[in-house]
Amino acid sequence: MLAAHDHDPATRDHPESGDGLLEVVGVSKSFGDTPVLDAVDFSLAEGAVACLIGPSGSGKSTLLRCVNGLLTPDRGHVLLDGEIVGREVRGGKLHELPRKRLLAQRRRFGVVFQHFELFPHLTALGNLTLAPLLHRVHTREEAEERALGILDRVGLKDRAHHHPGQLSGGQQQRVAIARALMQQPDVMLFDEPTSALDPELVGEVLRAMRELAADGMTMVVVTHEMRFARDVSDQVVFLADGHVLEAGPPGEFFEAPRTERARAFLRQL
Amino acid sequence: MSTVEAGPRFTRADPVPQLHATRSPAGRWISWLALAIVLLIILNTLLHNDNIHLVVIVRYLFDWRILEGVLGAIALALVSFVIASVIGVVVGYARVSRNPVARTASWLYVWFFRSVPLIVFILIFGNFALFLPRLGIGIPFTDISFWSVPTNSVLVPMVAGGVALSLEQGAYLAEIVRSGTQSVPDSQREAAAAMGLSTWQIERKVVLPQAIAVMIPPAGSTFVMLLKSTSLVYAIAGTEVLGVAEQIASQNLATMEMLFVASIWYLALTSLAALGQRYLERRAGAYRRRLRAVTTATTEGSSGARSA
Repeated sequence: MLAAHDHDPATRDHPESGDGLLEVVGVSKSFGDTPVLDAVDFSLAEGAVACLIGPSGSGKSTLLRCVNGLLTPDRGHVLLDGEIVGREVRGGKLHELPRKRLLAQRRRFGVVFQHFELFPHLTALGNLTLAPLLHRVHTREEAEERALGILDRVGLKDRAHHHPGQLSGGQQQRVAIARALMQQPDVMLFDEPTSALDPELVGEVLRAMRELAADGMTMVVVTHEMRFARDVSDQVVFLADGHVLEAGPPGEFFEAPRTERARAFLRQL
Repeated sequence: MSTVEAGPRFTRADPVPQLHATRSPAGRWISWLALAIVLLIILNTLLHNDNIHLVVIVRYLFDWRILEGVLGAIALALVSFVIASVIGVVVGYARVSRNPVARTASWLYVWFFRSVPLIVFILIFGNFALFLPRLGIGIPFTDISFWSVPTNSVLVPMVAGGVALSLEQGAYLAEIVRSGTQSVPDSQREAAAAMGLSTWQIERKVVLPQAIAVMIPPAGSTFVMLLKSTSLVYAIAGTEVLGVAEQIASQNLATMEMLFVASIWYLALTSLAALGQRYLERRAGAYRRRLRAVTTATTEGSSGARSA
């Protein structure tokens, strides 16, 4: 059990509407004149794992940043458990969320980055406890005890007092996963978590992610690891040029892709 | 095109010497000797010179007025540096703010205070009463004044000098703060934002601890410069080393001797400051190398495809 779920799943599902925990509704995003996402739609049930795959430049990372509100969509919106991410409706218009609520909402998404983004001036333990201490959710003793517990589960308890520079890439990424788990997220977002790793270090990170998925964590994973997508995900979302070309169970996608783009993409792997 | 003559060619069987020739030390010794001679000539002109009275230099080196000037210079430099640091952080962050008004205002500040020579500012603040006879609080564009004091009672020479030094050094420190914060990749801020940290928390707990290592070496040189720049306050008769030395010289007419006394003190003060800076720089360097170990670890093997 990697993540402690503090809510009862029954209270979070929306059986009457059929909505999942995460709903991406018609999200479009442009940078200047360059459209990156065009009316992207997908839905993710609680405890499910979605893999976002597609060629470089297809908008996967942008989509991930729209999901947790680090980027604001130009059109469309994202719902987390029925709440609009990053914004609220007042007087028939969308307004940015008040700062306190915005920061609290961000903590419901744990994010793991391609280049880890551990804070180099802090130890592994310091990286894990920084945010909880600033948010005053724990005393120092509680935070460190929790952090050591989580580090233990990713197999790095003995590295708690090492600085990121003293850890291998695989260890750094596992610390980054542990850091994201500290905030007890509802959803974990992974942005190509193994792309910056030497091939022999990929396995240990994927293993931690598999365990997380097995424990029932809701996950969105941008990845080029097709075996992981096939084995672990409940849903594959294939993105190309900012469009969702296919979305469905991995078996269907990998055995019988419907679009020519997907067939071409899978052939070149 | 000139052709280079090829050297002799060897085959595998040819004997090739295994000893490497060492360079003769003669050239190095001749250079040292030349340097020593130049230094001796300079010393000789200074010491065996009927126009310079060494006794006067020795007598005034620890004169209480001079010591007062030394303390004045140190105090002026320290206070100005503290105020300039506050200005530097505020203006430096304004330079990279998302707010275009703050960006423009801070750019104007840096442009203005880096463009006009320091001596001009010192003269302006030293003679501020000619421009605004009274300083106070009132309503702009009206004659209504709630409280005011004569300018000359506030902007005494040392205060006027301190104001000029702080404002000018603040502009330089602002640029150092700006480059320091920009040296921390934006992805670090993004990661911290994803953890729900506020902008202020991100800058204080994530960016500054990394940027400080980049900021310390140039900030140290700025302080050494500032220490020397206190001498310019002499122009408005401040109580610092050069001002006091000139004041004494006007009485005892030992102009050169008093300038030498001032030089010796500046040499001592800046050497001390440079030593302190070296120490800080070395510590910052070690710290920076530890931080950089991460950057290299994270960038290697990142040749894999990166999605947008």
